[in-house]
Amino acid sequence: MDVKIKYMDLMQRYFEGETSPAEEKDLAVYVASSDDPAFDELRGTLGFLSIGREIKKRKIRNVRFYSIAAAACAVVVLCIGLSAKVDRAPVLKDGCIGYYYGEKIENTALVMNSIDASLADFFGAETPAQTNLTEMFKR
Amino acid sequence: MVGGAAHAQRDLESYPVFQGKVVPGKEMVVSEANGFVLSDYKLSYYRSVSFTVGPDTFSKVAAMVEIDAVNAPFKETEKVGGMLTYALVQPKSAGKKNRYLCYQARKEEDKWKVTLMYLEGSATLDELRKMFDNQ
Repeated sequence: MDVKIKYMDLMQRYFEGETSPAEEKDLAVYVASSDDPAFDELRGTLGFLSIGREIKKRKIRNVRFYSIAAAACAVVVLCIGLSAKVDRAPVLKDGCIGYYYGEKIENTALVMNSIDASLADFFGAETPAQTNLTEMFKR
Repeated sequence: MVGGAAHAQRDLESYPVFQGKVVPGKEMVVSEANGFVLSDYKLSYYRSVSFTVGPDTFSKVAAMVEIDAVNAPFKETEKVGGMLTYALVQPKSAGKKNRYLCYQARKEEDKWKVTLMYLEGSATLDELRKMFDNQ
């Protein structure tokens, strides 16, 4: 079975409260090591995401699962710490930050809105070739 | 002030601009994002700097971007009056990740307003354009 399908199925069963502790541990480890957006909702539930997303409420809360998830988070944080040390320079992981003329901006929504606007401004605009064609055939 | 040193943009001629070595950090607006927050865009890393500078610094930055464009497998550039005003550069991809260097410059009286972005991710150029086409 395709690995993604297997974990998608497991995630569905997790939200239904039908998974065993071993399956939940397996799922948490997979999600912590994957960047597949299909699991963003679950990451949000696990607190892996730094910005809010719409999150399904679990029917049954499993305290044991959260302990495992916390352990998985700790592993991720430890890995981030180690990699930052190796690279020497501080590297931003899973989040965003801005500096407005030297002033640090940590408001995620504000920074992400600015990023969205910059991307839209660049990729939403006509390319030079399109502009030239528009100008050429303008009446 | 400026982090993000672990990304593939090190090989770019324009990398010092992102590091705040051409224009001081206090004179720039900087944004950086990494990981899950960019998943909607199919990107894994984003960094941008924008600043307003005089003609000398502008020429220096534009020259760096032009070198990156020359070295890249794909680029689109536009010059107005001999000055580089637009560049979309796709340097060699880093593994499975596509990379983009985006540059825009606009003259405002005797100064130049410059925006430089560096992106990494699985998104193709076509996908990025479609994403923002109808906004």
